[in-house]
Amino acid sequence: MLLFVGILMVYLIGAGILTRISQAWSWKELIASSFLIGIAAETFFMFVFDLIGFPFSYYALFFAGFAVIVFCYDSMYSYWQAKRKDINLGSWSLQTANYPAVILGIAIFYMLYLITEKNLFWPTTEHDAIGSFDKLGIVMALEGRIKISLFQWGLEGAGGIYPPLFHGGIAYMYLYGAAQPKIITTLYFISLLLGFYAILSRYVSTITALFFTLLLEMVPEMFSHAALLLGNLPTTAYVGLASLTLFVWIQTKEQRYFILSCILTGLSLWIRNDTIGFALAGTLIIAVYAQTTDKWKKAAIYFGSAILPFIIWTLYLKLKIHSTQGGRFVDHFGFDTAKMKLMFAYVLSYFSWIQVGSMPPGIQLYGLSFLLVFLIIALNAKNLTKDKPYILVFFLASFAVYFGIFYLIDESKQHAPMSSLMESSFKRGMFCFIPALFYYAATSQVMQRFSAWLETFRKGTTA
Amino acid sequence: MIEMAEAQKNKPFTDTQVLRRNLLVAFVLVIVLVALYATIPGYNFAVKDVAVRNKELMDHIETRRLNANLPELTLQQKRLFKIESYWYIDYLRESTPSDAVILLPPHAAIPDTSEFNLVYSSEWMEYFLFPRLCVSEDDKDSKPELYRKANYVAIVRGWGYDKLKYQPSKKESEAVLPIEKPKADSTAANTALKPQLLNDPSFKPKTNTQE
Repeated sequence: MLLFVGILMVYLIGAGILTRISQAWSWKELIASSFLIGIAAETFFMFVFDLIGFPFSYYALFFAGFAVIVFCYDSMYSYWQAKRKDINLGSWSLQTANYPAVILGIAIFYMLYLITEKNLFWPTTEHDAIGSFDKLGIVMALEGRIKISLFQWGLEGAGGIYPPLFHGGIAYMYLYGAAQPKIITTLYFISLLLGFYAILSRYVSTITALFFTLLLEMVPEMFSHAALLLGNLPTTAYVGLASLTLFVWIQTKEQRYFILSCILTGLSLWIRNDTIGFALAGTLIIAVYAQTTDKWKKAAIYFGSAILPFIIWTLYLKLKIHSTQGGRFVDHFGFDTAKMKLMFAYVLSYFSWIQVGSMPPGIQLYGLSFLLVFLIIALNAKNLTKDKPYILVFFLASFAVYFGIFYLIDESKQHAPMSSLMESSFKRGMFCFIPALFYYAATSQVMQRFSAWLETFRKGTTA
Repeated sequence: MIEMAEAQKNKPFTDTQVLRRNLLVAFVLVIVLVALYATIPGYNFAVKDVAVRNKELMDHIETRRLNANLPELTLQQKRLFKIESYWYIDYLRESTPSDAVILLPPHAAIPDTSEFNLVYSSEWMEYFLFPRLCVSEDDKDSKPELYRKANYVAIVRGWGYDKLKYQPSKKESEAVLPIEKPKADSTAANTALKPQLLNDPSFKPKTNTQE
């Protein structure tokens, strides 16, 4: 019961902040983003309590969260008044029901049910979660601080230098009485899928939106992560929705999407600092492609809001934990041909069916995700410069930075060879690119034409 | 004649015609989904191994539990299924005080089987043993301060007896013992016993992620 209250608080905090930004969100957008923002707000409170030396407990977090809800009560109430009419089943009949959408919906819900059941049944068993995230979370909850006692003995694990959003979220679940905190993974998974569908359904038919949502849900490696307590799926939820909302803003110039993208990009860096490539790529496409008179100002605001959590956490690491994130990188910038060749071979493997090392190939790890997107890009070749080119620029720029970060890792300092990093961390980080690429594929002119033809055929209306 | 054809063309379809077309698209969609499942190994893995097989395993465990009229499995019992060395970890926790600093065996002393997998890793073991602290023999040089504080030794496959400052009356293969001689020798009481349940092969789950 207490856990239910804690989760409800998170959603209400997020909804309060979102309705303060705008009253125009759809229910789907509001629910999907509320959890992402609400849980981040709670970890921000933990961080503030830690800075002032006040041990956090669920009472402290409850009252901090409650203050936000009270502050945003009027905007939430007016949103409810305006939007409650949208909560209805609409009118439908068995004769005219959208059966393909029903099948896709059932498939999405059934797979979500299966993976959620698995997630909630088994306790944490993954090496990284036991060695780091879950351990950090449970000790944070017990000690009421971010700089837990394990730092003194070097027992915090590799995730100790990561910003506190994910393990702070785990601590929050423990504080609210969870015997095991894995429900957080399911809540992130729901936010990712619902947010993706909410944004995609603005531009494409229900069937196309649901089909791509199913493809996103069933990215094999990511689907298996939906039953694990690892940070990659939550990071994908932040990065994915941050990039999608940025694309919507560039397309529609609706200010609320810009603000939401700034927040979610900032939170991407509050969960993992190596997502900085997405912030840089976002800034680049705003500066180049935004159709507003103040695009440089917007680019600066976007970059500033994204980089702020990065700076705050870097300072905290340096001044309070006495650790640095740069400690694992090379000291010199000489070109390492062998390392580069190895990394390119793995990247080719992610995008295809070619196996490198002991890692399963991309078609096993990501299903058709990359191959389908590249096929649609090829089919859309003649519209490449006119049809949302900024999404491809975003992908290429963020991927280049991501690749560069791994290239600069010193294998001896990391205590792992590059092949091992490519087969674990890099591989999982690839999830973050998939929502943006699916968005491009689903809204491309080729797919839009196919989608329009299908709808015309299905509804039996003449073109 | 042409006007009639135009009128016929623009005439909306009947509900029955729409239903037929919807069902046709739904049928094609099902074929596409089945083809993706059957031909793309990743989707096959996700549906069959990650989701469905796990569901079967959970149902099997639940059925056996209900047939034996047992209460719901606790978190500890589920860990026993998933983590082979958990019985020993649980024993370490039960047999040491909460302020203990436990010396873990080095990687080299652990046989190359999953039975004691990761028992040498202090970062991994700390999750289960907190608030106790632990340090591996492998961390002797990297964590000298913690190593010096160790007051218990985790004995695995006979490793660790040379760390004790006394001769225990009985040398079990797996145990946990204080480094300093205790007032009363409690070695016998502290013997680590693997639960019989874990010897039942039908209860053994298979890990089915690509992790």
